[in-house]
Amino acid sequence: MVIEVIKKVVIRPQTSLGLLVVLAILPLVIKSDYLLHVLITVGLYVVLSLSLNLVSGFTGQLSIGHAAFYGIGAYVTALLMLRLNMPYWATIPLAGIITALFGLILGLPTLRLRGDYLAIVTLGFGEIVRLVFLNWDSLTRGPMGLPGIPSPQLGSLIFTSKIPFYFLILMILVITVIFMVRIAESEFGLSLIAVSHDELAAEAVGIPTLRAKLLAFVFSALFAGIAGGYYATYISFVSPDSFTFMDSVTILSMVVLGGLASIPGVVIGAIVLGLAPEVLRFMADYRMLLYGALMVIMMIYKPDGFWGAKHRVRNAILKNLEKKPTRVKRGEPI
Amino acid sequence: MFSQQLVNGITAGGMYALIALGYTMVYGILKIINFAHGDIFMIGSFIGLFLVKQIHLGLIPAMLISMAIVAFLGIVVERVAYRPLRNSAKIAPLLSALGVSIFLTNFAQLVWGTQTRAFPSSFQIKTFQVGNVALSSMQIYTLLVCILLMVGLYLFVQKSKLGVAMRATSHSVENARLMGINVDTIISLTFGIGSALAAASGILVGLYYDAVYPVMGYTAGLKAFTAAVLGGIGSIPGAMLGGLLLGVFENLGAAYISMGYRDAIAFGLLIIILLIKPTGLLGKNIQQKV
Amino acid sequence: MIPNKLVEMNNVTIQFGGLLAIDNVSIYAYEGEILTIIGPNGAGKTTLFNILSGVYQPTSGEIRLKGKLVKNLTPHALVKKGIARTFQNIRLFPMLTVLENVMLGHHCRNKEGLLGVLFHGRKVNEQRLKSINYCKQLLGVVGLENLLEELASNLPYGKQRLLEIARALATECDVLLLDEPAAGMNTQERIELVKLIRRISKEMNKSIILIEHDLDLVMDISDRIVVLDYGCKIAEGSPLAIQNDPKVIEAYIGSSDEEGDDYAVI
Repeated sequence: MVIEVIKKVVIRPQTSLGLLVVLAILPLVIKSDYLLHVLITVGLYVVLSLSLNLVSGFTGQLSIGHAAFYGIGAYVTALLMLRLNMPYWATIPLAGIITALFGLILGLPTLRLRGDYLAIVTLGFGEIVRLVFLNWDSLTRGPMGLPGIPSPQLGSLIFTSKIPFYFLILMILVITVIFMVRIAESEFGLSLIAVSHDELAAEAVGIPTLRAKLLAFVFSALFAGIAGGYYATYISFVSPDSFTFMDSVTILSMVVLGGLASIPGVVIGAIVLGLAPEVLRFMADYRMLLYGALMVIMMIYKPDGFWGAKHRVRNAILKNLEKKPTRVKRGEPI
Repeated sequence: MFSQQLVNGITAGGMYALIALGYTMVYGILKIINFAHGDIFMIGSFIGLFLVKQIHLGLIPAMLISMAIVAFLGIVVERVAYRPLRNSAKIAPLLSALGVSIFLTNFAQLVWGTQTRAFPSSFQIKTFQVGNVALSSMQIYTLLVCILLMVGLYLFVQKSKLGVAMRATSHSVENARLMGINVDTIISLTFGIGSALAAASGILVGLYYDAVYPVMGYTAGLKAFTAAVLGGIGSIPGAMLGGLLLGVFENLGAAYISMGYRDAIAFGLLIIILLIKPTGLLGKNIQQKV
Repeated sequence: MIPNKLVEMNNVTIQFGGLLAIDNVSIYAYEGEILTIIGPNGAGKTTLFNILSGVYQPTSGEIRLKGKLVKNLTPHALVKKGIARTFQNIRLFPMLTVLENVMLGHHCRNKEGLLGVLFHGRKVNEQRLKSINYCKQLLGVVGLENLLEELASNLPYGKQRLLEIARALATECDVLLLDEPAAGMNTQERIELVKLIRRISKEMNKSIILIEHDLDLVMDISDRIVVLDYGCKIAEGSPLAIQNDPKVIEAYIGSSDEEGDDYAVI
């Protein structure tokens, strides 16, 4: 009952719009840099887990190497800004595209593999990428990392305080959410879900399963790369330590605990797990212990996550079509 | 140089093989990757270290006790984290395993701290010169223990009644159940044996590299998994062969290509095998029924 | 006028290890024809479907669609060329709705592309409306037009079979392979199914190849029957001719010790 009511409220466009307004005026209310930093971090996690959700949620392909794509995006941005003095804005598409290319290179041969094998391959890829960051001294300065990455500049405004960074991540987040919702509400999105249910049946109704998986993978890498680029300029320092196996696991946990293939679920998952380290700060060392135990418990008692795919809106593809059949729709909130 | 690397590779490979056996045996029966296996290996190493340092036991009794405790731990992990998920979607046991892995790593960090520890040198390490190869007594002992355990496992699986039941279960859980085999017991046994072998390997690795630390299970586990896949996951002789091959490859790669990329070579190898021959060297082909 | 052979399979053989699952079999189906393949269990009927739909590649022999050779194509590519199928053990997408299942069948005719999805403008909208209407129409044909919002897994068995047929039709196929469509249906549902299959074949002019165990239904509906036994074609002809063919009788009675008449169970 309660869930039905929540469901009705959540899918209203007014709800998203209201939420957006609240998020937009939030930095005027919050004066603390620490809180803004937490919000920015959570925003980054939402983008990352939404991008992984495309692969592991919708398409059902378990990937435990997502931090590698995040890292590639971060290093690409860092190197372009430091070595070629490119402005941040110019590196956004490049970080996205180069990371997506890596997704293509990894995905093309490996997406034929069955579930857990693919998981292992992505894990191995994540490790290899980290080892390359660590050992390619002449380019990445190895374990010392790349410090002094400049801040973005918009006309005469140089991003020095947290506030412009907050709005930047909010923008990236909104675009990501819009794209993800559009995918979820399209036949392409349905075909990804079909692949995750039953690949053979998907093939038998004419879905090019390999192509679908590859598209999901490449697109997911693209978003992770853009998130990485943002991270590089925001923290102004990148090192191999920021893109480890544990980071991949954290992102995956957000997707799974939130609810595979559910956009609201994944957003909730990213917010909850993103805030958890801050909220549980008093527990300090016991935090990760709890995290591990929580993962086991969730899998046993609530494998569908906080807001699972069973709550998805049925026939969502009809949503924008029937009321205003031929109006051009562009860029408005979902 | 080459033969020296070969000897070092075989020693490392023996230890990988011991861990790989746990992956392969569990996969053979449950068709899941026990992601927590690397951490079980690490716990084995720490318990061994504790017994030697704090209780002042000899290495051999410490190893035996550690194997027993860790076997029990393995059985508990299966009971708590995997058994309730036996009939759920594939992704659930995998994540549950990741959860266990995170839990164990952090448990070790809380109990023993994050720093690297070493076993006290309890025996004199002699080095023998055979031709141009330096062979340490440590390497000889390590290999001896590995061979002993593997031969023991082989005999158990091939000759004993329980071993036969285990093979039957890995062939088909359903049929085994129909033949009156208590599948749950066999699964517990599999986890127990696999974990005990990992514990033994944990102590050997700790002694050999002079380092015991909470995240040691991650890389070692991943490499042992590579070894299991290389040999053909699900195949016991495959895990042994895969372990040895991986150890040799890795050492040769580190010597002739680059030390820093030693681990990357192993993972690269893993990806290549999965792409070219996912069934590994000795694995069986599984026909998918439509 | 000579009708078109929409699909032909010439001298096809497939071997799994040492097992000869299909041995030099040739079949064909005309436009608007209902061809039924019968035979005891293990005769290779489903294997034949798997070859026709690209799941298996034959060891030797050729397949032609509308006279054109098709070779080494994946299942989805064959769907695009006009051959669609259903499965013996229904394979719907259980968590998706009835409409969504059918839309997925139509997806291979859709050209909106990833950019269209992301920036969907008027063209994409119009195309979507068209394809949704098409799918609703098809659901009307199989009688599920009132269940658009229902999850596929919530449908009763017989309706699931109908939905699978609608999903296959939505691919705009020329040849439809139906693997035991009547299995698990009650008498009333079977009568409706026969009507539906006739309608698809005669009104929509599609070739239908059918695997079915219910011999009454087979004799009633088929234009022509092919009998398989141990991977070989042992007879071919009109229902009347097949009923009186001594080889067919022998294959069925000869195998009755092992199979009995309990085929419906499987």
